[in-house]
Amino acid sequence: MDGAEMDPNPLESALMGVRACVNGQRWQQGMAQAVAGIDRCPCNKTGERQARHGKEKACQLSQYFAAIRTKKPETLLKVTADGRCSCGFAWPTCEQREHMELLDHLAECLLQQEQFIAALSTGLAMIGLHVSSAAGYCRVAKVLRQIRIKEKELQKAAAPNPRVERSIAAILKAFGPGAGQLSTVIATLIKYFVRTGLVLTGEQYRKRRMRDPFDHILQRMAHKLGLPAACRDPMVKLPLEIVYQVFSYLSADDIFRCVQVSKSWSRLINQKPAFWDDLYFHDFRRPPPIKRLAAFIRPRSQIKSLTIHEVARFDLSPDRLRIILFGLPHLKRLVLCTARENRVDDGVQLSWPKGARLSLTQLSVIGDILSKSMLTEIIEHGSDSLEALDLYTHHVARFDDLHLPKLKRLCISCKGRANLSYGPLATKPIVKATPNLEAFYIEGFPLAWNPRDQTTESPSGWPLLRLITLGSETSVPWRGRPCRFLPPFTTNIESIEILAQDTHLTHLYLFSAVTDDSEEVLHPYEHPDKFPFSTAFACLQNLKIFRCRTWVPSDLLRLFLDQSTQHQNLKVLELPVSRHIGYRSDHWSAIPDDPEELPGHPDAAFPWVTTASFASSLEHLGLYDFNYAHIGLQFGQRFSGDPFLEWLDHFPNVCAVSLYPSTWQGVCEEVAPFFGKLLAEKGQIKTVYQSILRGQDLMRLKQFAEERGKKLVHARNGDEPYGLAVFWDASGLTDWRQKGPKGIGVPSATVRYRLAS
Amino acid sequence: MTSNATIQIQNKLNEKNESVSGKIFTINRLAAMQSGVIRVMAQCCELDEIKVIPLHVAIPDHTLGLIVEWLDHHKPATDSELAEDTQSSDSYKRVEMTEWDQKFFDDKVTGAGSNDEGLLRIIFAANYLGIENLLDMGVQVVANMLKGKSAEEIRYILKIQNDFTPEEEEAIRAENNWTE
Repeated sequence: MDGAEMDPNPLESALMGVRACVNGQRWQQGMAQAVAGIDRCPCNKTGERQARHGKEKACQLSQYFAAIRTKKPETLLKVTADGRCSCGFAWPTCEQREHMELLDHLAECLLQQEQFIAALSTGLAMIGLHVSSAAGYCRVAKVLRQIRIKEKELQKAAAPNPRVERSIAAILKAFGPGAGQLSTVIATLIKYFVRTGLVLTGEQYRKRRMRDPFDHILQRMAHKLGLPAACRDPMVKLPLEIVYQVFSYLSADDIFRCVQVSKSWSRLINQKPAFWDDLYFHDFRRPPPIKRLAAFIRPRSQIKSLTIHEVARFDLSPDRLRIILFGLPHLKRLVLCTARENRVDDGVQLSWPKGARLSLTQLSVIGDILSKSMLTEIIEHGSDSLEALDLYTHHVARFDDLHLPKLKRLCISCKGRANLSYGPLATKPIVKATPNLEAFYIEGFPLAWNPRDQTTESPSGWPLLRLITLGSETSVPWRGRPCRFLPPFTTNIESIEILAQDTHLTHLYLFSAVTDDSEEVLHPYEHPDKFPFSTAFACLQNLKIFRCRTWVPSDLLRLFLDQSTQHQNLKVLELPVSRHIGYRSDHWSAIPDDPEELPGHPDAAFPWVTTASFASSLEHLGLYDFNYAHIGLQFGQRFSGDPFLEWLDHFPNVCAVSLYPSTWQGVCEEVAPFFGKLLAEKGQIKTVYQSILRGQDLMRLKQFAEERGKKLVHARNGDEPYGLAVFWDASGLTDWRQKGPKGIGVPSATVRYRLAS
Repeated sequence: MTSNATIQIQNKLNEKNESVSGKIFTINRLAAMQSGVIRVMAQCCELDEIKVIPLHVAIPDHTLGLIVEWLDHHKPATDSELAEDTQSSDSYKRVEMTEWDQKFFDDKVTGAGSNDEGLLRIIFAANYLGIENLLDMGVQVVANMLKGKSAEEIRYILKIQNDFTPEEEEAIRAENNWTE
């Protein structure tokens, strides 16, 4: 033992030697080294060579087998805790990992040497060494299995193998009364050992022992043996509502596969119709065969919501569409999405069974999927129930003959790729078809009231409209005189967002009063004498959100917002400082030019905003296109936002700001310090929306904001807190799914507002 | 009450089971209040001036320790933030898992190897203690184990016995496998 004193970790070095022997299949040498190594374990306090159990191992076998056969883990626990063999030998207990591994290698060597009983006995010693370690049980099971294999070989082979025969006799003898065939005895023993092992290695007994690969092996053995204790099936163990919560995270594809896992899973899933309520198809490798689709749809007629995320891969032919629409009588929501450019054949029609109606409450078509006539057909057949319609397509349905009394939400958009071959989008038929609309979003189309139709009588407008958003690419073609393109506001209006960059459109929508002729409108600058200044804006008392992207004269704006401020309703205000970004129609000379010189301070641009009644109600303030640098707009221009920071002090309740300084080269670097200052100095501002920062600056400022418990949001393409985000989460359909199949309704400006602040 | 106040939670004592030792955990008050059960019990205890809140369901010490760690990391900054967090009525609330949460589940809960016993314990405990965000994260971890896996893989991972007859299996595959 002198060498051991120089060796920092004698056990580890012994282990290395044994491992080398086992790998090199030098069993004899390995055995000797393992035995010597075990003596060096710290559990051997004397450091002397330890006494070994006698050659006759059967006493230990019978002791363990008897304990195992009681099927009570406590019995085995007692045997090992006692550590005393029936012959009087005291078995060691030790939690040293190396000790266990040495024993394991020893057993392996013995097994390879066909010393079966000794190997088995060593395995049992391993259990005795640390009863809640899985290694011992694995070893015992392995040895037992090997003995069975050898016995089978023995039956086939002509030559007898006395070692195997002796071992078999010893095992049968140790098993005691009731031992039948060897194979059944061994099967029983393996099963008992694995089961007991699972219990004793479980968390209850394990204490602080770390999990090792043997736990995994034991688990797999138990699984192969079909032991109920091996069941890790969360669906069996977890309460039902949590199981359903788990499934709610899975797509339909995953659920299809889960149905095939086991009977209990298939029962769980098929019993709950709600899983099929909201079906979400995505990621098809190839389109489902029509027969299969029909076979799938038939027993699931209760489906309430269907989303097909990539229609292109689903191949939504008229036949498939027919199966879906007619096979699912309870379908309430149909969402079809594609990211691809599709050619849509306008001639195709669905042949509708007579009297067929759809019960759809929501139809969302994102991308060019359906032809104009098909879309019109579907809307027409669901016209009694439709509450929400999202058309993100060039092929907007013809609204002329439609009547959608329940429709509350309408989104029409084809951002970036407006097809002008149809001419401007006629708004009159849309208004006429949707008398009870509450929320309207339009993007990408030029708008006109009734470019073709001169005869039909004017609709009464949208008396219930609460939210309106005119997207950044909408416009109104000039028609020689100021013409109306949307119905006038009513007292219900809560949110007006004009993100369009067409000054003309802004003026026509905000500042126009209807004349007797239903189409032509009065503008305050064109007809200052006839314009009803006192009554025109009186209905705006409930306005909560006002966002405007183009410049409008400050005095008119004040008149416009006066009512809602007096009622302390206006919470969100976003205004442009100058309209250098926008464009205007040169034909309409009544609109005043915006100031040549930029105002040096927001106060100069909107002197009325800081008055007490105004300032106190606002909670969210935004500015577009501002730069208060005093060095002209020429080369070498720098950005300055300091006047804005000063201005903020006038608003005691503002807790969120959105800042969209216009874009020019290098703006990011110039603007970054301003945002830093805003986050650092203005304690009341909790959320900052912007779209201008990039890369490193954005990352750094985001972190800077987080450290101060604030939020810096990059608001682009519908990520803004209002606008499109209110109607539809443009960043993906996830939000939509997360809301669950609770019904659609119209997004409430107030709810969204609370979220944003 | 200051945000640094702490409260103590006593695990249930189970004499038969050593891992449930009646150990006392000290935890920041605000952090602990994320649990609905502790919130209710703390209110009662404040009235009775009891210093240590006893749990009525035995949670293994190890699991409870992990939960305390999680609660500490997700400690709300103020009372109002806590109220905002816990009073959400939206039952479809989804919780975003941060990198820290991911690591927490990977390293400490599911551990190396395919042990989901610990995960189930966390879910049970979170369910009992009414920590909705933790429960939801646990559920997400389970769901992620199933996502994109074939039925055979799911059986292997969760050690589930395939109890279909070959004919039944063929039939159920024909019905459900049309997406592939």
